[in-house]
Amino acid sequence: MKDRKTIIESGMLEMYLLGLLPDEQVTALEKMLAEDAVLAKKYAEIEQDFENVSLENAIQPPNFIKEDLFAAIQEEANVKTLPKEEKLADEQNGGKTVSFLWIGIAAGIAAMFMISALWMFNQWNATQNDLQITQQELQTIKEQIANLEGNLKDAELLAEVVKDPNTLQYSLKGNDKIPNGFATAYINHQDKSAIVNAQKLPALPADKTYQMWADVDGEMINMGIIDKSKDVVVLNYIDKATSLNITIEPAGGSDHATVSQLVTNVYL
Amino acid sequence: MKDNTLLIEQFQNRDEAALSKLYDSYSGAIYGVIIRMCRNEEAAQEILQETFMKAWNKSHLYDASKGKFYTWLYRIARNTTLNFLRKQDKLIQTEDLSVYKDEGITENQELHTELKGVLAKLEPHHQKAIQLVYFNGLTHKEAHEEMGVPLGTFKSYVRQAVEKLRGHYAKESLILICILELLT
Repeated sequence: MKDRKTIIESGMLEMYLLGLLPDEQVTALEKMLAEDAVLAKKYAEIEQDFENVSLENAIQPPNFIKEDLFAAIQEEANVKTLPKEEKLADEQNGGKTVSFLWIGIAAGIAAMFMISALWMFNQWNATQNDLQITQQELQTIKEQIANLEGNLKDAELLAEVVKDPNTLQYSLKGNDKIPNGFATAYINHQDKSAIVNAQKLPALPADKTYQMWADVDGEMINMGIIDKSKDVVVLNYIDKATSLNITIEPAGGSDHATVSQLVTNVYL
Repeated sequence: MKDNTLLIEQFQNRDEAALSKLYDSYSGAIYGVIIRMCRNEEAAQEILQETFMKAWNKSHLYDASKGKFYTWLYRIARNTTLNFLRKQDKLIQTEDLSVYKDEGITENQELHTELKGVLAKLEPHHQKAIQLVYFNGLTHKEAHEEMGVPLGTFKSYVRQAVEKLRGHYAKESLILICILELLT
């Protein structure tokens, strides 16, 4: 097949548009047009230009042509349906009218039964689909409610702790391992409770977790794993702690703090 | 009609309202082609109706991926008109060719088929080349003989004319876009 430039310069596109291109070239050109976007664009432009030329040189035909056209279409549609009607009339006028009538009635009932069965089957299928969709939506709503309830409990817990005058608030700013990381710890020595808001701690890979430790006489005591999926995490209260510390540990937490992975701490 | 994909799909689904709209959009353009080809008002009216009947009955054969709907309709009109002309006496066909030379102006005035728009602004030989192949339905071979120039020269005329049309329409589109930009 010729290349794009040769096709354009040879006038093949215009000949194709006019219906003058030999059949053996039409197939090859159509294949090229389907594969070559530039050539297809060029052909589309030529088509549009010729359409514009035609519209600019349009001559309005008399109105009756349209009326005749639609009358002819109606007539053609009637002619197509007429033979069946005539055949039915002939049969009804013949000697076997009664038997044909019964066959007709039986066929009609059978057809109605088939249509009804099909309709009911479709309805049943549609109902099944609707039910499935509804169940899926219900499940999604349940999950959303559970999440909202979780969030509400967290918020209520945080509000209760914060408003208690005995609660002390400590800010834990991230070191160079998590420069923008930040956590807030709330310690209540009266209630002996400890919670942490870890929303601002950066997300960790799936095989890592944050863990909080209390320093008591130089020993790091485990306060618990910080679950990042929760806004507020309740931790173990440790008596006589001199500082709070957060480290990055393997998922599941460690028995002993990995001090080299300390990301933030605050003295109490 | 720039974006009539939906309308054409409806037409292909035997929607008479879609046929009506397509007829309103294109019958003038198609009739302009037919009447210039057959130069007979009465015959042109019959051929126009036949063209749309064929399009209606063969609508499933139209493939939008292969070109515009108008081009498909034009080809049906062209072939229908050429079939009509072939059925006429060969002598009349010969006379028809002579009509293009000698009585063209008079007939154009009577049938109001003088060329208009951008095509009328082209140089006479470019205008004539497009008129012969597009509006008179001649093959390139017939048309170059009609113009009295070698086939290669004639093909160049068509090519150049198409390029000139592109230039004019592209310029018009640009002006239109500028006007729309100014208005918004």
